Amino acid sequence: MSKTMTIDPVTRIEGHLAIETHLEGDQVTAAKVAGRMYRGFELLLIGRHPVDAARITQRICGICHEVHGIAASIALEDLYGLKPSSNGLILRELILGLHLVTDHLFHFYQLTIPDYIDFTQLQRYRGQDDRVRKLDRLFRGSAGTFAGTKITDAPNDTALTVEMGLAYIEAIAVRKTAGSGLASLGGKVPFCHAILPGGLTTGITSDLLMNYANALDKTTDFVQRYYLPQTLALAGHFGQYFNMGQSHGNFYGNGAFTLLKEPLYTAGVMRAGGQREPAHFAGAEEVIDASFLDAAGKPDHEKAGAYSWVKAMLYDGAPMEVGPLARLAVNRNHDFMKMLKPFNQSAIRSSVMTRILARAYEAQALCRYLRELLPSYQLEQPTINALDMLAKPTGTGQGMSIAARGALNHQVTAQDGKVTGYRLQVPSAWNFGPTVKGQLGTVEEALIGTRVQAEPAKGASGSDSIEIGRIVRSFDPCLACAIH
Amino acid sequence: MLTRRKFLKKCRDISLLMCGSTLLTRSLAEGFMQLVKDPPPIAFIHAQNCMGCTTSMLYGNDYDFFDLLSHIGGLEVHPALSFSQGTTYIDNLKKIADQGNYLLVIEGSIPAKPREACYLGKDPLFNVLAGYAAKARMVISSGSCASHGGIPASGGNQTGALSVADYLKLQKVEVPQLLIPGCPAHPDHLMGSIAYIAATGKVPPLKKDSQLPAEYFNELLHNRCSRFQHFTQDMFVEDYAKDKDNCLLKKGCRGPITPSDCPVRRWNQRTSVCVESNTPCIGCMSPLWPFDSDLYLETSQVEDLPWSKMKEKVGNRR
Repeated sequence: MSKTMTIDPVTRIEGHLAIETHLEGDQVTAAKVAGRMYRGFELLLIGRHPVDAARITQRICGICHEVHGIAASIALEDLYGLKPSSNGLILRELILGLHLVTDHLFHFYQLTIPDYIDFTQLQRYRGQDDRVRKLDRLFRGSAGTFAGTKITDAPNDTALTVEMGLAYIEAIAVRKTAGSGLASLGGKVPFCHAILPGGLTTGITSDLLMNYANALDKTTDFVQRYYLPQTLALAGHFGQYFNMGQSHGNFYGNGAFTLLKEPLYTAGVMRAGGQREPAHFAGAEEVIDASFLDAAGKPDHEKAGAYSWVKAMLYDGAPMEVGPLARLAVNRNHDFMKMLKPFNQSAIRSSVMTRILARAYEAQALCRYLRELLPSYQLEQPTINALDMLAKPTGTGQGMSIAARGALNHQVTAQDGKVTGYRLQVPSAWNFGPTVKGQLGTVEEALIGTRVQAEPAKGASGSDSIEIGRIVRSFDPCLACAIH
Repeated sequence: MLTRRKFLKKCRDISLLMCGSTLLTRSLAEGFMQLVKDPPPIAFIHAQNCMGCTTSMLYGNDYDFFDLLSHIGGLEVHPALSFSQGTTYIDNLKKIADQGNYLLVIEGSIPAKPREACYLGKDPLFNVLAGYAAKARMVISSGSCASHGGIPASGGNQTGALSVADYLKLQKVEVPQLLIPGCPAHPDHLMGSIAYIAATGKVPPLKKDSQLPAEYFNELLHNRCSRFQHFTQDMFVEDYAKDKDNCLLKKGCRGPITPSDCPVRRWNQRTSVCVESNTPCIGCMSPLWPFDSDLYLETSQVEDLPWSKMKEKVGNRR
């Protein structure tokens, strides 16, 4: 028997997303991924001073809150022909890296584990820890938000549920500390205003660096003691998710964190067959056939054949998966492959669980990288090579960087000091793009073949599949970025 | 056990935390006593937003969103935190709205043309938001997009983006409103206001002729800036690389036209604030944000803030 199942809205993500699936029996045979909110950032920037893009594109997304400011600054440096100060580059990596870690923590604890852990088991707790009772009270006191969905395949394990619950709350506290570290350097989060082309405006002092180091240490401690072990525990309980949510198998990643002798990531592509090659910018192509945009890039919500506000992204004509997993795959990271071994994974493949583990692995690797990078900061050297704001450049600038969710490119075009064009190629557009040229979008492909529970979960009033939710969330959707 | 004495002390602490004064102790105490019986349900709706305002609350300043919830509870709907999804989620939102008397917090602007530029479930948000707002005890616009239109309404305004107030006026919905502008909203500004409403059942005292909480927006940022002294002595930042302490007015600072207590309240566990990182206030809490004029040019070249007049105006303040 065939039927249609729609999840609209998908919650616990960034943005407005609807997933429509077609089922034959209990198996997904067709899927449509639709982004449902548009603002028009690329058009809103036209006519403005180029440097304003560093502040305005930052606001594309409040979860990936530092990545666009950084990518825009790199693009503007290219446009103006400005070389950033070496301290400025270090500070930028310190901000980007710690921000990515906080982003991953939020994704795992607040957005992901409510799909896997049944927090009503907290009510069975009989121990002495008041924090657990407080947490139970918090969940019950806001029952409309934190109750009502029964996870039928959740581990029946009070101790594990209590650990995960405490980490759910502790992750927020650790992010607060990390936020203080980021604010020491950049003024405040979300949206560090100190990030400008050429470096960072802040007068960096030794005590500010100590604040940052302290925040980094506490974050590292949480990652090592809770985040990493708990993702492994989750993978142990949900082994079937190593075989679910597989995309086409093509990965694309930009280079980033390149200041140390051993860079964390170099740009590259890995094809479904396993062959790896360096990435070239010209390979990336935006296709708007199925998007509510006309040929001039203006919104057209009545366009025939369109079903999403997201543009499709192709690389050499093929859809690609981006994100921490893709970055690790194209760089053939041996440490991460070792981490997958106990789960009978001999290679880095696309799946729900490898995406979750890749984020945790990356968080730990970033913490190590940043700790090693910190001492290279030169206290008496400039934080910024300031730009002449009165210069009136004509030309184009590229800003290649990364976000928590994958490869990020900004491209600014200017004429006599005014923006004439701005192109944003954003991670979630790679992952959440629609079907074009006969090829399913990355997440659409990942949904095909999924077997869903025939009956809706108890307590759910509609046919909202938990399996589909898990697959979609494993890509860490950010629709505000994808559409912008 | 919580004794009466301890309880009143806790109320005083919260009053200090929220307002920097003990003035509210009594009304907070009465409010929290009511709350035990009657927590106000809170629902969040995301319009054309970026989720920066929610992220801001989650980072918090001294206290974060979960601290607030463990004190006042009642969060019934939040798109980024709710465990439910799809129709279950929408049904829950409808149920809370139908019960009435709830706090509706809106993040983001509302597109009027095309309405299809933002959905809530299967409906364009424009078509259904008025129904939810009409049933609310109060509508809080969190952030500059909801408060004033913000970035989506800037430039050519590609989607006919409206502020919540303009949208509700158009839809002829009359409901008490509170504006918490900011890009993003300051966590204290939003959560302090929610705590005040929850505790007293009243709207926080408002700035004259506005819907802004007076506590946070009565003064211009410039007047409370730690670099004000440099301003009065004509000491200005010329080169970001060399000057780290001077007034940022000549770098385009919008402090003199932006109502906010940012410089004294500070951000992220009171660690810092934009101006302290040696970068001008970009006026993200101003109704003019993100401005038609260039953000980083010397004020004399900025159309909406002539430098000569600015100096005169600010020099003669009070």
